[in-house]
Amino acid sequence: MSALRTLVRNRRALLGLLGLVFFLLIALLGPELLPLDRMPDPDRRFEPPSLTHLLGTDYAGRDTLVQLVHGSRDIIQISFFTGFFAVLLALAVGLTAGLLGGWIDGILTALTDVFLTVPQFPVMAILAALMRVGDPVTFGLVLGLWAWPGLARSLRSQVRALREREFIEAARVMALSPVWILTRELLPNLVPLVGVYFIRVARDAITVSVGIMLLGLVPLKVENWGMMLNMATFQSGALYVPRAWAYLLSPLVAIVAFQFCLIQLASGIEELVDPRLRRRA
Amino acid sequence: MARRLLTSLATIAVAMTLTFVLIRQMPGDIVHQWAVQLQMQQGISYEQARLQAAAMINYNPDIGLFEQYFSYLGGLLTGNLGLSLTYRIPVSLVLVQALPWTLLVTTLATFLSFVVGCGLGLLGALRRQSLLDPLLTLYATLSQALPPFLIGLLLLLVFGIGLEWLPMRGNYTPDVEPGLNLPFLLDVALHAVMPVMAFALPAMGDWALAMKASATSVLGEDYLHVARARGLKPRRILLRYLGRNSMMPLVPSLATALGSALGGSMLVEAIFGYPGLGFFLAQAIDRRDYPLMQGIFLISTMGVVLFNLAGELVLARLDPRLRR
Amino acid sequence: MRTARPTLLPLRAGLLRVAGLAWLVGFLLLLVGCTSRPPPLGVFCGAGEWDIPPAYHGNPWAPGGVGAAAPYVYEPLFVHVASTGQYLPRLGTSFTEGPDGRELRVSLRPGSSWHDGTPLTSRDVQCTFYLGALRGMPVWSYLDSVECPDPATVLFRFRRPSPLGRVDALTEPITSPVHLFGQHLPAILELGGAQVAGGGGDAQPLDPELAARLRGVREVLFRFQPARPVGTGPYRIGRVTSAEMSLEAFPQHPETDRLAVRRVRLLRWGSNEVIWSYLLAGQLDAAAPACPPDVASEILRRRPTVRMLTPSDLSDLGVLLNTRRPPFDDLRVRQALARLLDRDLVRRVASPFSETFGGLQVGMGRQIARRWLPAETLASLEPYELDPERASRELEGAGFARDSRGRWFGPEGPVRLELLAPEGQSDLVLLAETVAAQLEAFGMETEIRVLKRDLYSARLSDGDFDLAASFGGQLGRYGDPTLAMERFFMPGGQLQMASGLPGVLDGLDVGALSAGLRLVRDPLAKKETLGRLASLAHQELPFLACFEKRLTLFLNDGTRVQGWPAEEDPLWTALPAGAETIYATMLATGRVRPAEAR
Repeated sequence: MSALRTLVRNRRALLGLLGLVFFLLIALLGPELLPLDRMPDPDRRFEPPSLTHLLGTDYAGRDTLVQLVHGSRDIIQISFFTGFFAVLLALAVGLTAGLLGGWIDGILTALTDVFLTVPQFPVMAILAALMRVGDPVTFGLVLGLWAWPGLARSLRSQVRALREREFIEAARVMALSPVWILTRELLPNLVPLVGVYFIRVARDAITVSVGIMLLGLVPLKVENWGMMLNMATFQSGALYVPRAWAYLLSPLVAIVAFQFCLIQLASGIEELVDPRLRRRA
Repeated sequence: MARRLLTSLATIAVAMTLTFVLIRQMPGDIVHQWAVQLQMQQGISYEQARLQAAAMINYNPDIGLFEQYFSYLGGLLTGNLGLSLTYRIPVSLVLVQALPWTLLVTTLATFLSFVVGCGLGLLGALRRQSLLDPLLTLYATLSQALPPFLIGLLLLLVFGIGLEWLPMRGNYTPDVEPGLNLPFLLDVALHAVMPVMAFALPAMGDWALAMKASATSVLGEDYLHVARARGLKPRRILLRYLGRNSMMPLVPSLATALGSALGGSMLVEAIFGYPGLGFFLAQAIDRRDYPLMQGIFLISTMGVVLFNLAGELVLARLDPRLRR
Repeated sequence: MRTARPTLLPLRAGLLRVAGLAWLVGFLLLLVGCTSRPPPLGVFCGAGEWDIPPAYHGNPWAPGGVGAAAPYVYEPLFVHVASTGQYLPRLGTSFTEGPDGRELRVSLRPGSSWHDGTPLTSRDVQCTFYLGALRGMPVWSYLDSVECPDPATVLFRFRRPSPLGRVDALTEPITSPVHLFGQHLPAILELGGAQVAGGGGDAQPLDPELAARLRGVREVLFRFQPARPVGTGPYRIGRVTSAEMSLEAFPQHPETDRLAVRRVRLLRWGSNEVIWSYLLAGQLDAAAPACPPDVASEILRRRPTVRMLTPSDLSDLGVLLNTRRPPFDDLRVRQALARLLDRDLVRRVASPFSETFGGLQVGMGRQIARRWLPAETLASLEPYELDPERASRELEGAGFARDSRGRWFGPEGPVRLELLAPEGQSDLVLLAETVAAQLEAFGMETEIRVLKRDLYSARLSDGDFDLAASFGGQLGRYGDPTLAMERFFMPGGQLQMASGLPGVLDGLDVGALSAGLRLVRDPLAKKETLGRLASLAHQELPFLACFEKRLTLFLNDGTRVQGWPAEEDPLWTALPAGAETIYATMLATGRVRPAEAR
């Protein structure tokens, strides 16, 4: 309970938390309140914001706000699952390699390097020919599968550094159980790194998912925020049309706001797990 | 040490083999790619187009995968990367000509973004309650939320079309004589500005965030208090203790970034028509030019693995505790 | 406890300062007069693709050769304007055809020479065609031999006379002087051009021994990679980079006096966005990228000297239907689709400048159909008009039904469609999107998959899709619907392969009929065959055209060059056959000249 209180007391974390709750609410309730109408109305294309269309219209005269709301569900799920799978894999590989060392470390590091270096594109192209991905969990897994090596490497070196540190050595001397050392001493020290990485992967997932859509691995959804940006740039040329600023900016602002909330919350959590930061603040 | 080097070599070998198999399993082979294009242009039947395509690139499709692999390995041992199927010139020639342009842009961008980003991140960690911190976060999120192609096109829009300050595409104009002369070098520098910015602008925010996180955790460490108690100059503490120790966790990422920078970027180089490895990779993928693809992937694989190794070594030197 | 002292750290206070200074210097460098300079008055700026250095070279036959410079560096014998049947003389001055179409005699322009100074003779023309055989040049499906009765006359002998073959022979760019390429001639002459070009043009697999021998010859040919091409055309290449190419007038060209624009600058195409950027920046004088209407008006607003023409592309865009698998294996479902799609809405979203495609799905636009198809055929076909209710009735008749939520169910369960579109072709992507939106609204679940061009074509030729946004009938460089019918019906034709339409329809061997169309010389017989095939296209509906594509051609008139002809000029009708050839012709004939200084 005190953890939650600390979180709430931290103004920035609170902001992030509220923001995320807001996004979640939009994703949960929005699509029910604002039905998606995909039917084009070319005479109304690229309208600036008005009372009927709060965020204007897209290249085919459809409401931008409705698309944004409907896209939020996908975006939140895909970002979350991608981040989740990437962090999970990275923790498993990075911690094992860092803690155990020796030949296991060697093999895992090599594996990480292979994953870091084998080009994604051919793999995705082959996958696209073999399977059709529809649900966000599989989508997240496919994306997460390529996002973990960076974090795993950082975790490994971080763990190796921490292992030699005084407080871990002290704990070891005190014959505390490895689980205790892991959860009480190591993990808190890794939280900032994991947090930053989770956010980075979750964010990249939006851009990368567009690339995956363009490989045909998943169906095109024009209300996906990343895809909205792509449509604005390439297919419809909104980037070059001053009148279309609202259509270009809306998904951009939404993505930025979403991530901003994530980052604020993450920094709040950092302070939560690292009491020293609280002391200074 | 020798063992680490050996593991790295093994990694490269495994990655190379995997890549070799993977790219040949992609749907649509090289003759097919050309044939479809010809079919479209000339309205001929597919069989006819295939014949024509095979003649165009003089390709013998009847060689098995194993045979190809072993002859490739054999070539590799003697430093021969094979002949590009679509360009009919040695792959190594393409690599040698394209790599410098990629290196120019990506290393410049990586260092620039690393130095500036780390500086900003450090400041952000020190002034956690000031306006700088949220501004930094905002910048990082904004620059990262923009997909790379959009950053490139926005740069084009502002500096190329709007202000007309910078040349829009290419590495130099045909008006200058390539060589060691001032007009050429200036021209190259001007042409590199936008690609460098397209790489550096988003990376900067990333480094800043990572540095901030790292510095924040170092700030809580006891030795900083000790150092302060010892009466060391604040600036010395800042750079020697805080800066150095918070940069350490970033070294692996920097190594990875530098390593993968060797492969260039397909998107950025395509937008700016910049003749680096990324540009050729995109072409090679489109046309299923296997040897060329393989060569470029090999370079980026080697880049990533070797730079990661180097990163570890540097880290070991920086952190005496790891030397044990 | 003390931490270890730093030993190796390169970071000093100075480093940050140096970095800051570097930034500053960089920006100053930018500001101090180093603004990019657009090419000066009198330089024509065009755009096109080429393989960039180090791949670039001047052998037109080897991969990587010549690229977008070809129409400026090389000349064909004639430039063909299909809409008027005109042949504009270039390297050839006149031609005569034998009564049975088996002989074609062309006189060459006197005084022509190659860029290296060697005079042009008929042997060079012959050499070009025989080297082309090595690369499978299509004209060899008709040609028997190319002969040189005298240095100024070329004689084409045809095995299979064809109006299209004649176009091919007369418009092929002449690229290969004997003194550079002659060494390969004996081997090809010995075997005969048709044989070398691939089993007499009927695409029979070559005898393996012969194939290996030809590969050997090609290997030697491909190794010849001069830095620059040697042509006979009005321009020579100066320097080539990854983004630009500069060309200068060839002073020994016999018609060099007519050439008013002495310098050409080509920009590498890249993608449509790149061309929009160049147009917005006013750096292009002629280009025809696919362009959304708002971008077009933005270009016209920012660049007052630019005007836009919309000549026909002689092609139509629409949806390709896979007749191999349900639900579109059922003709009634295909016809229902034709009645439920508001095709004009598709046009208005995807390509507003284009022309409405009527209800007759005959593989060509209305104007073209009226010219090439028998009037009675056109009158006998019932057009597909927008009529969703009738579509519903037809679907119900085919065993489909709606559930309570209005979703369609077929014999095999709910209707779930997959619609493919190629990435980077904005009109096709938008077309796919509008079609999918309409199908969804009608109660058919439709997923769009946008694919990289390479993957898209692989899926299409494997028949692994339900619907695909695609080009339909294309008239191509012949301006003749033969090509469109081949695409629809000929075994191995692009649409035939993808749609899986059988070779025999209504007891008619449409495969053989369409494949033989090229050889029909009698206009009336041709019209009749075309009519039969076209009405089958309409009935069988392997493809549903949504609009007849019009190009968006941007011409900058008065900034660097001026004198572009008006929209009515017949030359623009030849644009789909190769825009650069048309620009080059306008430059070569002096119609386009340097702009007057303001």
